[in-house]
Amino acid sequence: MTNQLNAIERLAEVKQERMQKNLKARYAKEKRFQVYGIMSICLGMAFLAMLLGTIFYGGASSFMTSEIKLTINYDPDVIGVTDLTDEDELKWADWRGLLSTSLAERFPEVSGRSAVRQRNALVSSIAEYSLRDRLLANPEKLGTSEEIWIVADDEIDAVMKGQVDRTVPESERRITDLQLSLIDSLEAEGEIRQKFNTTFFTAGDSREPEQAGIRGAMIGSFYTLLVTLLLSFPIGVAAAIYLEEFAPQNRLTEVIEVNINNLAAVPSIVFGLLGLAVFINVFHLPRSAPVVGGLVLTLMTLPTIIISSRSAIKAVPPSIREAALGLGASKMQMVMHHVLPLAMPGMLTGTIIGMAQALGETAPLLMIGMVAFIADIPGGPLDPATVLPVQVYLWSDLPERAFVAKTSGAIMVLLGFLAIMNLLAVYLRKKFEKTW
Amino acid sequence: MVSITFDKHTSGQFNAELEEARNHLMEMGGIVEQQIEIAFKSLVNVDSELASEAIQMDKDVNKMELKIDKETTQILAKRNPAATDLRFIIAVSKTVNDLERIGDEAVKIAQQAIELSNDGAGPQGYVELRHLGEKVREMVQSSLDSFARLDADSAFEVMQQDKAVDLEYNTAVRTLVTKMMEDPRTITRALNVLWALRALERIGDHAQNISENVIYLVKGKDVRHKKLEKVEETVNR
Amino acid sequence: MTTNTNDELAQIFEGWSSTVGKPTLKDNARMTTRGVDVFYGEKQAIFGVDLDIGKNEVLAMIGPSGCGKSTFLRTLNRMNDTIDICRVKGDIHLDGDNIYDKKMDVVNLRARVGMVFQKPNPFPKSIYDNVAYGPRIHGLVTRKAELDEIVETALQKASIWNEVKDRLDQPATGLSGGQQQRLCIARTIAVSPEVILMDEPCSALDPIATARIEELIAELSENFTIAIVTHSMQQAARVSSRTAYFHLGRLVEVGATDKIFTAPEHRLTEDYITGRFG
Repeated sequence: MTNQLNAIERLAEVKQERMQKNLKARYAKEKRFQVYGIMSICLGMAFLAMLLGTIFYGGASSFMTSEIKLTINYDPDVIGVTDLTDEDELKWADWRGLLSTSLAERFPEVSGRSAVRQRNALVSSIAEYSLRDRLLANPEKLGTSEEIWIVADDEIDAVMKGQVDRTVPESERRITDLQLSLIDSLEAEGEIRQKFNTTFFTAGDSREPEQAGIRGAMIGSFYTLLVTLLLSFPIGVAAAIYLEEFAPQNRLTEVIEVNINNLAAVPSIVFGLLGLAVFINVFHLPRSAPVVGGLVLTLMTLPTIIISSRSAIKAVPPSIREAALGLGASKMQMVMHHVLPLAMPGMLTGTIIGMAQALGETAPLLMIGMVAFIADIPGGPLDPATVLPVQVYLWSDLPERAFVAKTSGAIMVLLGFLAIMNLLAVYLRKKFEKTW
Repeated sequence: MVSITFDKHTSGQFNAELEEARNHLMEMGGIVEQQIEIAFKSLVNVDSELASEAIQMDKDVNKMELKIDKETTQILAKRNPAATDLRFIIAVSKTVNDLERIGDEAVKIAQQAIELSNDGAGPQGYVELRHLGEKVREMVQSSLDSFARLDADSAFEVMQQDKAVDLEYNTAVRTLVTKMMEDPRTITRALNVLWALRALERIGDHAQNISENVIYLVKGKDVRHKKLEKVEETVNR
Repeated sequence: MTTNTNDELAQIFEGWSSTVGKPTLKDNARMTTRGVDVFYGEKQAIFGVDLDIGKNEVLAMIGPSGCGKSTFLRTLNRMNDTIDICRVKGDIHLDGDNIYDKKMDVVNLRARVGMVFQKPNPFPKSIYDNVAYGPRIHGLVTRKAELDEIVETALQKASIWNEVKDRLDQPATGLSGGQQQRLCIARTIAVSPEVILMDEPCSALDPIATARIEELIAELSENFTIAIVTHSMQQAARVSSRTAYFHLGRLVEVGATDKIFTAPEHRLTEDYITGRFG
């Protein structure tokens, strides 16, 4: 005892001196650690900025499109249709003729087969269908003429966006000198313009970049997620409540617990294989349908929801449970009146994060055929559809230059939805969170 | 009943405080015993110097009383004593009171000794006085002793002795009264002796009180105003 | 410390036959326990406790940490049922009904034997809903006016009405700790229990709030039977009429509170209340 005291007394004499030395080293260490932390954060932010930068840089142009102003004369002779209600006649209608006639009138100087073909390629190859739809919607226009903006071909659009190098020899470009001169003359007259690309948001997929949109994928994603949410939230929450509050603590529940945790780590493509084997081959559910996608994503999301819901339930203080039980509440009442409302924000957050994962998931959906080219916008969860990330995957494979931008554009939309969902999670947590 | 110890508290300081109170009480008891002895000697020997010494000693006794009272109050306030500790503090505080009163009685005896020495010769009735004085001094001593040893049996013996003291006192008073009737000239002196006897008897009563405190402390039962047989039952249980 | 070395305790309990004092009451017992053993798995936590709780009395249970007093308290309204590995043996009767009988419904039991916990645990709901919760789940009231009256009376009895009457719709979690605990007491008495169990109700409160709860306990004892577990011996001495001392799962001594605190009979009780355990 006395020896110890003496040691401490001896320490008192040298304490200040030694501490001063030590302190400097300690502060330096702290500083260094802070610098490391800031550096890693900066690095992370830089990568993120690079990623977002490339995507935005590449994708921004997809939100704009080029249009050419043309005078269209709905001449029955050109179309070859006199009665718009006659189905037979419509089958043989020459809508393309409307465009070529109009272009011929605009550029009378162009002659020769090749030149005419290059001239006609100025407008989108499927612009004729929008003309058809326009006329069918307004049959009284037959025989009259009007000036409208026609969507330009994606190569023309590229020129307008300055993505074409004119110094390259003609043979190495996808656009000819003649076309360039025509564009220049249009531009000089103000008869070609760039405008916000509404088609991108309103159209389904298309082989023609200027006509391709993400609406089909968005609707497909919506139905898929709807199915996923409707299935995984109730199942996940019910499973979590049972496991946390009611299940006896024994081997079986332990095994279940371990397996749920393992399930969360299973590669998602395995779920796709399962979906293919079970839902499509055994139950004969429609291929490429959001309902199957939803089922597969439910399997994938369930562990996430169960795990987060369980931890939300665990976070409810036991004193609240005791209070309810002590007043004579049954276990069910305790759970429904107290535990569930208090755990809800955590459960919702977990669910939304699970949904966000599901929204970004591609691999399992490839296995169940949601990777097909589907131009139609799905009308319900049983219609064939694709989803946003798969659309990104599809477009990234296509050769046309314009699809590169479209891919980035679709990624931006996807990221936007993810951000909105995460914000929603934060909002819900703040709103329902209660302190005790 | 559990045996009583004052150490072994979790708080060593509490142990020390209780021990100190006990030591101070014993110290005060020692002073008072001495004071009785001196006062009594001054009476028997008609020695006014000894008498004033006894009177002087009362100051020390009073000082000790204040000191111990302060200590017990502090223990009560700080420690919230319970069970034996509580009974100990109560017993100490009451015993201090009794000791201080014994001191006062000793002063009275000393004052009578001075009165008598002013009168001159020694008084009659000294035989009774001497006898009673011895007994009472013994009582005080053994009551303090029983406190020190926390011995309920010896405390009970002190209580029994008080009966004898009372008897002795009554006999002495009767003898003195007879003497006063025989020879009225002795009345003044006899009265002085009577006062001294009275003081001795009171000291015996206080010694009995101290013994009662000891029994309360050791047995946890209040035995004041109880018949001796009842007290015996308590002590022997 | 000499008194609680394992050897000595083993010695004390080897010869341990029965509780010192009078654990049973003749005729005004509300709850009676006979030979109660409690096990957590293989480990025995309570050893053959016989103890009665009288009508309108406040019984304090004291003892060192881990002595089983809380465990014993929680067997009285079967709160231990929630612990899987906990088993209770012996008889516990409430007004003559065996509470561990198959026919005894635990929900009904807990409406008869209410409990106040160590930490104030109001529900994160309004003050009104906290108090109204018990009557609501048991279907005790049919009209809103009746419920209002019950809530008001309960809050008044818990002497918190004056502090909260203007903000019944505000969250209970906004109250101070002492107020929360009184609210919890109001919530407990709103279902008109016969017995109220309190498990260290003041351990999280400051001295003033503690004094108010103690005052409240004295008032409540006019209408209810109260069993309180407390770590504070002073509190036991202040609020209770009888005190039971537990040690290592055994009921060592029980008796009138003033007797226990001035002249306990058992050495372990003596050592505990004089502070000789470390």
